[in-house]
Amino acid sequence: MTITEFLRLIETFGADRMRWPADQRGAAMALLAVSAEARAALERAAALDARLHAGMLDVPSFRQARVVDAALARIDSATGQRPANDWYRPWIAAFIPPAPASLVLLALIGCLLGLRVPLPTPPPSEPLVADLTVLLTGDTDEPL
Amino acid sequence: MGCPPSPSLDGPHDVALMARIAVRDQQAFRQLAERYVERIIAVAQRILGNAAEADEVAQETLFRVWQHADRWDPARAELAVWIYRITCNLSIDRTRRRIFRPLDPADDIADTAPLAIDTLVAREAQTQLAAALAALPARQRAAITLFYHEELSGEATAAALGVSVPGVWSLLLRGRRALARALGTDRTMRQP
Repeated sequence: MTITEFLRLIETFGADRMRWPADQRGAAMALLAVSAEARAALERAAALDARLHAGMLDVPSFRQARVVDAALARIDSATGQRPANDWYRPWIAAFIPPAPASLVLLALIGCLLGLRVPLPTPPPSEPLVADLTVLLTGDTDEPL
Repeated sequence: MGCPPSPSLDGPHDVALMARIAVRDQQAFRQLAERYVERIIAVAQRILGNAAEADEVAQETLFRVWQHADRWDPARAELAVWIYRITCNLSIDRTRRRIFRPLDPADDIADTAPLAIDTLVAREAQTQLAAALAALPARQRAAITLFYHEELSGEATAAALGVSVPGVWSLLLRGRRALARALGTDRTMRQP
C-alpha cells in the first residue's frame, strides 16, 4: 500500500482499524509499522473521529415520548379510531347495537307486530252499492 | 461488514412486531416506535441541524412505518436500514425545500446558569462541529451520520441512502475532508 492509498483509506473510514475494509487492513498495518507519515496521518484522523464522537446527540426521553405520542395521535386521526381517553365508548357500544343489527331488529319487531295485531276489516261493500243505485236510479225498495 | 446495530434489545423481535403492525396493532406500533425513536430523531437532527424539524421528521417517519408496514420485506432489508432510509429521504427532501438554513447547534437548550470552563469548551466544540456539518451537502451529512455515528456498515449506509457502496465511500471521503478543513484537524499533528 502506498502512502497515498493509506491517506485515502483513513480519510474515508477514519482511524478505527476495525472499520477499515478487511482486505486492506493488513497492508495498512504494515505501512503504519514503517511510515512516520502514515502514523501522523492516523493521528489526524483520530482527532477528527474524536470531534465527531464528541458531537453525539443525547435525545431526552420526554422528547422521544412526545414524538411517539404525536405519531400515535396522527394514526388515530387518520384511521378514525377512538382516542385512548374515550373510556365511555365501549359502554355505549355494548348497549347500542351496530347499524345493520338495528335494521334487522326493527324488521323483526315489525313482523311480529304485524302477526299479532289484526288489521282493521273494511265495512261490507253492499250497502254502499245499494246507496249508489238509489242515487243514480232513484229506485228504492221502500214503499212510496 | 455486518448488519447495522439494531436498538431491538428487549421484547418481541422486530419481524413479529412489524407483522402485528401490518394488521393495525397499535400496541405493537408503540413498542416499535419507542425502540427506534431515539435513533430516528438523532439521525434527522444531524442531517437537518434543527431539533424542531427533526421531531417533525421523526413523527412523519413513524407514521410512514405504520402506513407501509406491509411493504417491508425482511428478506430485502434490515428494519433499521428501512427506517433509516425513510428518515434520510424525508430529512434530505426537507433540506432541499428550505429557503433558509436554520442552525441550532446548541440543540435549542438555553441554559443561563454559569458554566464551567470545560462545559464552555465542550459547547464551543459542539457549535463548531454543528456549523461544519451544516456546511456539507445533505447527502454527505447523512453518510457521515449513518456510518460514523450510527455505526452502520458501508452496505447498510448505501442501502439507507439509495446509492452504491463506492458512492458511500465517495460521500464519506469528501465529507471527512471538508470537516477536517473546517475543524482544523487536517493541520493538527502534521509533521514539519
